[in-house]
Amino acid sequence: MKRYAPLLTVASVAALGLALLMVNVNGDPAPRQEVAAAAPVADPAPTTALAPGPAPEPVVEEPAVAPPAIAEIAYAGRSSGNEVTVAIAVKDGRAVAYVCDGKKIEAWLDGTLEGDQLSLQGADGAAVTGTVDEAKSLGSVSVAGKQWPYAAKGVQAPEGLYEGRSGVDEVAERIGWIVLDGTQVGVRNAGGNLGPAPRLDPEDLDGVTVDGVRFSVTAVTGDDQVVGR
Amino acid sequence: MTIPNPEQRAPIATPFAPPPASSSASTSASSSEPPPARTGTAGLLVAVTVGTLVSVGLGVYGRAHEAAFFAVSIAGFSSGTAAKAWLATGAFVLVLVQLGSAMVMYGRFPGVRAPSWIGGLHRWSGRAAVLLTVPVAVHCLYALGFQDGSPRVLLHSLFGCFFYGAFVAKMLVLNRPGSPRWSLPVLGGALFTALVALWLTSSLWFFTTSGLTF
Repeated sequence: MKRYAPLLTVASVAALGLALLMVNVNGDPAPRQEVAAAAPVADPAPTTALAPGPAPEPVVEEPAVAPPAIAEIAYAGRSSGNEVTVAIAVKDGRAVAYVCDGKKIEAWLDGTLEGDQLSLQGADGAAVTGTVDEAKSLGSVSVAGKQWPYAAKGVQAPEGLYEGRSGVDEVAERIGWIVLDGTQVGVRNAGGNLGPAPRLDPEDLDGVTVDGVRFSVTAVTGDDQVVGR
Repeated sequence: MTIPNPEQRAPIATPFAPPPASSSASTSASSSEPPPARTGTAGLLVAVTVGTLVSVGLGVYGRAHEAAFFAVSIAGFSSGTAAKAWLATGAFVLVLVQLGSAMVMYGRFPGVRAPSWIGGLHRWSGRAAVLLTVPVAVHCLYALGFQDGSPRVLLHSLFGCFFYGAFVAKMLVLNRPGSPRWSLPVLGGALFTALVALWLTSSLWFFTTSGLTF
């Protein structure tokens, strides 16, 4: 028995570690709904909705999942009363979005673009539904128990959505920025404490430090993973 | 906990006292050095190899796994970080007990004879220490992953992966009575060093930046 005591110690440590890991995985706030499976795997070719002339593929009108109207684009805009700012990034049928008020409200969402229909969900009932074309996206945004219509226009870098992450403290820190019309709005989430984001220079994403803490900042695209799991 | 209590056989004085020395000398007919040394070296190689795989595996998982930024936190503390800092501090105190009891067992304190319970103290404080680190490590790996944003974080990530590899290696060596005499002190010293470095780069950092919060 004594001979195997060290092995039992190892086994106990491994068992405890695995059990805690399972608790974490199962207790995740946003269980992964296989977006990859729902996203149209075929047809990554850019099919612009407004393609003129005779329809290149006249039939096959009812695929289970409509191909995305736009392959890759980013939108940024605001709710009707300027309550929140909204940024949406789309790539190959997948979509991510960030909604925030620059002070205390924020939500990260992900979902799909099927045809011209956007549908995204986030934690705590956050949702964005809308339609897209090459110039704009219109729809409604729900966050923090409220719902507003929004209008967002297609944007090019440096406008768009940026995410900064720092793994140093606790549940880590995360910042979302939306750059639009020369202004920017963002919220900094430090382990659940929300506050206004510091200013971001979208031209220089390297070496962003906030309060002496280094953040890695990226311009978000539609296939990024932004909802924790 | 399902660990059966090997200390029930207490009458044997200092069962592990200087483990490699006493056990190999007494079991392998005094002078025949080469045979135990060879098998012991093989066992040590296996142990270190497995330990290395554990360390690298943890690092790869921490790097490849998308940091979740969420984790179940522990009740009774103001934040997950505070809980981690205090769990790690508990392990840090126990690892000081580890160092002290090991030095007593190896006779490093002149004039101090190892009491019979010192082996049990060493084993159980070690078990408690490593079990205390598990929730911390799971949170680190799951919520944060292997990070290299600053020297402190990089050091912490490296030592964190190293720690469990060294732990597994030491347990495997304990399981092989014929290991070289220096292997246990070296592995134990590595564990002690790693845990102290982990504590300095996390708990002490947390206490100095956030104060002594619970």
